[in-house]
Amino acid sequence: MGFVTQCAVAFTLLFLSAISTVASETILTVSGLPAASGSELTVEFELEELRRIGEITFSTTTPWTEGEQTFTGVPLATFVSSLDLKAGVLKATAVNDYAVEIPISEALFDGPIIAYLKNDKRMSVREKGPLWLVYPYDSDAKFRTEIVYSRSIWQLDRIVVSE
Amino acid sequence: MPPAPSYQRRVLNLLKSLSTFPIRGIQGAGLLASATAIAFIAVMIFVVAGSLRQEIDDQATATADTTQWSLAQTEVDLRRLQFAVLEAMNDEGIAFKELRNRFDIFYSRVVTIAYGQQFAGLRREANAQNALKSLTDFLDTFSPVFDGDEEQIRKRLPEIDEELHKLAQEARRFSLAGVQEFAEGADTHRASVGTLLSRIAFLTLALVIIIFVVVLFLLKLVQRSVRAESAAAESRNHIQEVISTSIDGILTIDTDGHILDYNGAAERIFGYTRQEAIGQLMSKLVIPEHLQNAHEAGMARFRETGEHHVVGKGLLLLEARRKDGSVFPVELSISSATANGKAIFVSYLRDISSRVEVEKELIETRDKAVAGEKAKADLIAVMSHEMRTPLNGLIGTMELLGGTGLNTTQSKYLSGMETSANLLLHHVNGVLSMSRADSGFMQIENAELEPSAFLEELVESQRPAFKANSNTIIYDVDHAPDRIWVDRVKLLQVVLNLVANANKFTKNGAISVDCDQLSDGETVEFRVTDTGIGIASEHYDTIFEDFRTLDTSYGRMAEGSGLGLGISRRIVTAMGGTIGLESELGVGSIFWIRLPIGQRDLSEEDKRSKRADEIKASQERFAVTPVRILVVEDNEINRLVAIDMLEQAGHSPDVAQDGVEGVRMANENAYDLILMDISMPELDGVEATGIIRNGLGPNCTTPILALTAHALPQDKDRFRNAGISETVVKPLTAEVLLRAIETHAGVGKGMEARSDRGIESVLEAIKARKGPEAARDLVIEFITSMDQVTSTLSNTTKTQTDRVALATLAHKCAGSASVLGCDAVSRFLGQLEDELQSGSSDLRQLEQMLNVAWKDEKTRLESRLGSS
Repeated sequence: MGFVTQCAVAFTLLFLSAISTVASETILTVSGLPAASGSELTVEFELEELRRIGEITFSTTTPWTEGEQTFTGVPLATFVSSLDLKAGVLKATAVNDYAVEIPISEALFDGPIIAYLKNDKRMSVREKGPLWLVYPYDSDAKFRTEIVYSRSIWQLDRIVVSE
Repeated sequence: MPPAPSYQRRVLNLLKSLSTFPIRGIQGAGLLASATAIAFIAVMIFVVAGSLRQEIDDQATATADTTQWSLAQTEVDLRRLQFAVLEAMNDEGIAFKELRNRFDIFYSRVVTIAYGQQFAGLRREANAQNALKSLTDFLDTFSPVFDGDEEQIRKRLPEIDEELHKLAQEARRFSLAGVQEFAEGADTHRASVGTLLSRIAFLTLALVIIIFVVVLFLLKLVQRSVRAESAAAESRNHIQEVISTSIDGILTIDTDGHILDYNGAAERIFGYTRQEAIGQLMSKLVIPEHLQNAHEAGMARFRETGEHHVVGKGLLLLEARRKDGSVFPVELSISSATANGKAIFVSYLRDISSRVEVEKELIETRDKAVAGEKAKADLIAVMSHEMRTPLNGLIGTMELLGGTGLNTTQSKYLSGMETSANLLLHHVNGVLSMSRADSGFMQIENAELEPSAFLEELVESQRPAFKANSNTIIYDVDHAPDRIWVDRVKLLQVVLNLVANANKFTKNGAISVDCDQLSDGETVEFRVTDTGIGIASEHYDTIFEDFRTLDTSYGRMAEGSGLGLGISRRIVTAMGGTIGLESELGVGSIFWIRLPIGQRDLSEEDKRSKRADEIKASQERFAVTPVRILVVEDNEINRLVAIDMLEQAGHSPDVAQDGVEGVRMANENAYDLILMDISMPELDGVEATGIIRNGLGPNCTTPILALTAHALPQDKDRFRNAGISETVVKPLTAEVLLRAIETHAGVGKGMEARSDRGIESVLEAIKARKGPEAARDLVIEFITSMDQVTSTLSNTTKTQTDRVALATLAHKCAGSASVLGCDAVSRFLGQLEDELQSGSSDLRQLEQMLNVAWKDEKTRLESRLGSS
């Protein structure tokens, strides 16, 4: 009984510490944001910060995975508006240095999300984490195009905003 | 010769041709079929293009550049991992974070190609399978190492480097397999797309062809409608030309009566210009006030019921009104047509004022001419009457003079006078009979006649005249029918005229009178042939005209009035025959008349036998029964003649010198008969008769015999209406006078005593000749027949056949009644016969009078039968 309690307490502590460790980690750096002084601003996001901006979940298949996956993340449109961006281009770059440019005008609502959970779990780099820009490919043919596929950047960790 | 209908027809034909240009018809069906084909092909193209789109979309996933990228990137990530491993081997102080990161990236890359859907096809390929197995084996082997601590990793770095070196070849192999696989897929895709594109191309070609055909078709239609339009325009111009050049006014109106069109001729006719007329109500503009109501009613009726009374009814004659208000006659015809789906009326009209004027003048001229002819005929008739009266006196006086014991010289002079007087009378009678024939009054009384005897008598009587001209005369009746039924007097008049003419124009020649039955068996021909001067053929027709003598020499030779042949022609025509001639100048002439042979008329026979009986009976009666007669005559000579004739016949007449005296005497004394001259000063015969008839004197029912030179039929009617019993045309001869007395006397006051005596003597005479039974039978038969007459007469409805039968019966009974002394009955029967024959419908008064008279006579006769 005491062992069980101890184990539970220990596991809980371990989990909490893990959470807090992860939570304190920066998973997305957005640079090039216009600042009041005219200089550029860089903002770093932790997971919880992203989750606070917005969170939706959808299921879809992708060309790069097997079977239907459930993705949870912040809609790109919501994310862009939280940064108070009206125009310009987002240059998203992955850990593996893959990079794409997405015009802000195409940050569609009901469209792409910056997913931070796949099948309700965080994604390691091996699992194309920490962030994955995914589209609901199955919901509409307009998301099954070459451009959309090329913009579906995984292992995303930084975004540069430019005019 | 109204040209309006032909204009009308032309305009209507043009309108019709406008509407029958072949524009519509099959074109609609053609266009519909084309549209259907185009739509079908478009749908096909859409479907095929959809397939193509699907095909392309399907390939998008498989052949995405990201796929190629992933393949290539596998090798890149492997190489970068290799660099990281080499770096870690060479530098002991380096952090392993980058190395681990590189491994994780490579790991995620391999997971992608090992599980990603886009590589599912590639993974089935054997080479790729082997290569992939090597890659996953590597990861399975070394991922625990990289998860472990740095020392452990460092120890195995050389091994990892070596493995990676080998793995690089596998990764390449996989990439190459991928290149091949995706190339093949692209080929298949291209082929598939190519097929779809071919299909689209084919369909597009078909579409283009169809559209081309449709365009051609439309082009054709356009051409045709252009042609139709130009033809229509031409027709319109033509119509416009026809309308504007028409000499008839043409007005087009709608069903409300508004003028839609109005041509130049209408401007001239009515005086309104086209601008003034268009849009106005036709009725207010050109229809005279007295016709407007009828016009409005007609239009209203058409609007309500659709029926019209004047449209299409040919030419109508109406009146129209000009701008200046004058009304004039028009001739118009109206036809209806349809314009823009509405009924319109097209009126063609013509001002016929001048024509009507001319017609009126013609009619007036004709009326004047007819009136002139009539006046001439009247003059001739009256003149003849007036001449006959003194002539009658002359002849009568000469006849009396002959009986006064003249010496030889005096007798010779008297004979000459008589010849002249008779010739003059002949001429006057000729003119009179001509005018009588012209007035339609010529009674033909056919009777049996033997041509041979007729001609023999005629020729013998004329022989002295022929001798005087040194002519011979013969007659030939070898081929004549035994009997013919003609009017003897008229035939004699005509043939005598021809024979006299032949004698006139022949000297020292031969005249032949022939009678033949023609081959048709129904016609008899009398021919008078002479060897005289002849007549030129151009005069064949004119010599039958009145007052015609051919030339002066002819005129000198012929003392004729020129009326002979004209009268002959009239008589022959009235007898139902023809007259003609053949002649050659200097050789001679043949005049012929052809008449129907006719047939026995039973009633005629009856009449003749009856009359014979009557005359016989009356002669017997006259012998013993002088009657009281009043002669009213203003002409002293005529009065003398009449009195002498009556006295010689055993009567003792009273004499009145004029109408007034006649009426006075008729009021004082009862007479059996009154002879009344018609033409008298102060009170003429007709008026005097009326007074006597309507008065209460003793002679109100006494027979009154009119003596007159007037013989026109309408006069006779007038006399009869005034109450005159019979009309005797002068000159009065003893025979006519005695027969009239025989027919009429014995009626009136004191009639019974004499009648009794009369009938007694008649019956005695019959008894003496045929025995008592015959007399009795005669009376019984008469009573039976009379009863039949009265009963038939009482029937209110009589057919024409009934009337004829009754007339015959009445005629027969009248004869018997007169023989038996029932003179009133006889007279009424005679009137009845006349009324029936003339078609009079009101017989009631006559019926009553006859019934009253017959009732008395019947009683008397029956008592007579009982007593004998």
